[in-house]
Amino acid sequence: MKRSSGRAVPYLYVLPAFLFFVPFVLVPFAHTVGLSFYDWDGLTQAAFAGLDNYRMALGSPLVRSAFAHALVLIFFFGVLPVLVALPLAAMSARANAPGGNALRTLIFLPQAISTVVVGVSWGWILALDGPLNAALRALGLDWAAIDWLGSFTWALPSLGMVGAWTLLGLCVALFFAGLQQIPESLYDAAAVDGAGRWRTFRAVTLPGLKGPVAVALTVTVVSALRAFDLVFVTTRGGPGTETIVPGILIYRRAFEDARLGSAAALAVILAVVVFAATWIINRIADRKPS
Amino acid sequence: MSRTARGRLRFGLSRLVAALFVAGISAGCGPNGAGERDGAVEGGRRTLEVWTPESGSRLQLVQRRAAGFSAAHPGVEVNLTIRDFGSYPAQLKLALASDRPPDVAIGNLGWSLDGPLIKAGLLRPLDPWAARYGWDKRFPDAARAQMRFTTDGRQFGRGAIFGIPYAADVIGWFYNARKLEALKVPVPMTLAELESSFETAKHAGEVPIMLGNKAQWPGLHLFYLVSADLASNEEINGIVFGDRAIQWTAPGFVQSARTLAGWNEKGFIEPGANGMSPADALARFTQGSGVFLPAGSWNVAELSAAMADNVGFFLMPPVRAGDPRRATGSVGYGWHITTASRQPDLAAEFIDFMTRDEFAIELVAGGDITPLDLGERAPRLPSRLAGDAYAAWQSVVSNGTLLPYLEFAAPNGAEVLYPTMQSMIAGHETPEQGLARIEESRKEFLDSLR
Repeated sequence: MKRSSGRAVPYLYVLPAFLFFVPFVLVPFAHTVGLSFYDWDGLTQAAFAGLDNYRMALGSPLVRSAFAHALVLIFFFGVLPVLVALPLAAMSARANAPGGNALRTLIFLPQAISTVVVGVSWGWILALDGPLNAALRALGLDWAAIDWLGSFTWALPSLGMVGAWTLLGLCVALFFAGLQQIPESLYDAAAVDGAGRWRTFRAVTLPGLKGPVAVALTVTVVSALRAFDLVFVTTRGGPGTETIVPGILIYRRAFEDARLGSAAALAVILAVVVFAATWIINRIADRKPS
Repeated sequence: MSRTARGRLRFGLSRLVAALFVAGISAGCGPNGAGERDGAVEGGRRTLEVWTPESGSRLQLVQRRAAGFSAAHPGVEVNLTIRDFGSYPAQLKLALASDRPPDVAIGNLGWSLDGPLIKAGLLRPLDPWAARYGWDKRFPDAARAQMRFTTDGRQFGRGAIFGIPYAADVIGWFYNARKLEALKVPVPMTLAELESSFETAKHAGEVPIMLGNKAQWPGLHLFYLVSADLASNEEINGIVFGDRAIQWTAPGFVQSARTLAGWNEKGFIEPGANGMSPADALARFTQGSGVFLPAGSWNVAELSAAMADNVGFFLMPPVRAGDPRRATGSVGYGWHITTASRQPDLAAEFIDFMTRDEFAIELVAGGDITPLDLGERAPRLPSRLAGDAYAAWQSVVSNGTLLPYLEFAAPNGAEVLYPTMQSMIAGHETPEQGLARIEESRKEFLDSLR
């Protein structure tokens, strides 16, 4: 009797959260999955479409390019900030330089700004006659001054750099916190063993940061995959379809074209991709060092 | 370890699916149960529920006239529900499918809003009242097709009258008068003159065509101007009203797209257009950037306020001097009566009140265009620009050269039509490639109507 009630206790702790989770996440998700098998305009009788929405989504060059763009954004939103943040955090944590806190605050600041404000500001900075191009021209690099967000070649990388700028602060903050968890004795031991800076970084800092790196990658990769607000504010998917991403397609089909079934199918595919990406990242992070 | 990350992921997804979910269930649960609609008549007082997406001076006019209707009909109260234009279609759909739909609502032409509503049986054919109030004769011939839909919602441009318009719009060229004068260029009378004025402007270091194409649809408006010269009536009407024999790959459209790509290659179009919002382009034009601005007549009030007499408006000059000018325009979206309304006669009376000469006179006095021919009753126009736009509209109506918006053809604008137009203008894609893709998507839509 006592044992069994003891077993129920953990579930009771979870219950309040679960009560919210069911109506606000599970039910809508199930509803979306259900919708994805229908052809529905939101008004008239929905017609069962089987796997048609999925077949059309996977066969559409536009959808494929949207996911390809998301992949490019993963590099800019995830890989790049992590690579830059690692040495930045390592340096600022080890060397207790004056102004270190101010620097970290500065780097973190973009995280605290609403994405819409970020998008509008960068839209202005990257405009053909914006400050970035003014600077380039002042340096005599007139040939490099282009309409960054309006260029068929550079719009996506430009968006990516804006995302990298935004997420860099988050990565630095995560890594900085992670560094505090690494026992100082390990560094002392490395010093005694005669390890140089690089060696210490590889042998002590990096393994100690495995957890925070996994968290950072999960957050940034997911934000790349579900990117919507930044794209919507800066390029709306253009020029042409050069910066179209799954989020924009889902929004347009659901709320502008009234193709709810197709939008739902895309949302489900996106969800599956997001789940897969987070699973892979965490699988790699959880692997025991051989 | 990655709990925060997963939490965030769930949150992001849940927002997305929740939105879809809400769209799905709201159809079934209005705030009150069925049957309370009878509350419209209470102690001899009747309330007419009316929905509008208008804003600014047009909204004020609608509000003024609605109050006038109440005053003229003791015991009748008009309750206006105002929603912003962007989210209006989604909200109106939900309201009409709920248990307490409005009696009267403004819609939007073609497949963006009217089509789906009619297909779902939510709007009434207005023919009985059209005959009684003379709506079928009140509007110019060229515009009448835009009021019609088949009752099954599958054919736009024919069938019953579903919407009664109250304002009009036409797309043309705004020009900076002082700049044109400085360039010693007269207002162009032919396509060739227009192109040579671009050349002159370009040589003088001016931006010939100011365009903000970040939103992607302004490029299509530029296409409307060129296709008014280069595409035939059959081609344009065929596309808009669902004639399968006519395709986007028709010669008139290919030539139009090629012309635009040529203009871009010659540097006639603002080089930063793709990264510039339409509002920014308009603002720059008022501040003296650009000689010409391709845009719709709905910008008249803003432009004349900012530029006074330094701005004028003309329709696309024809290929051959002296030919009547053709222009894309519409009688705008119309008033509808909902199927669920229990007082359709009162609703019809309201619509008639809102679309009569008195409304049109106030509209024109405010610098807007009316679909009605006011003749002698036309008020004094508030600016030179308003005069240009009014005369332009009158000319296409009297010449019968008003062309429907090509984007009425299918609801694929944002996903296919606009971005492809942008690619073709930039030379990123050939006209043949781009137009074939637009046609493919139109065909897909037409097939879905079967």
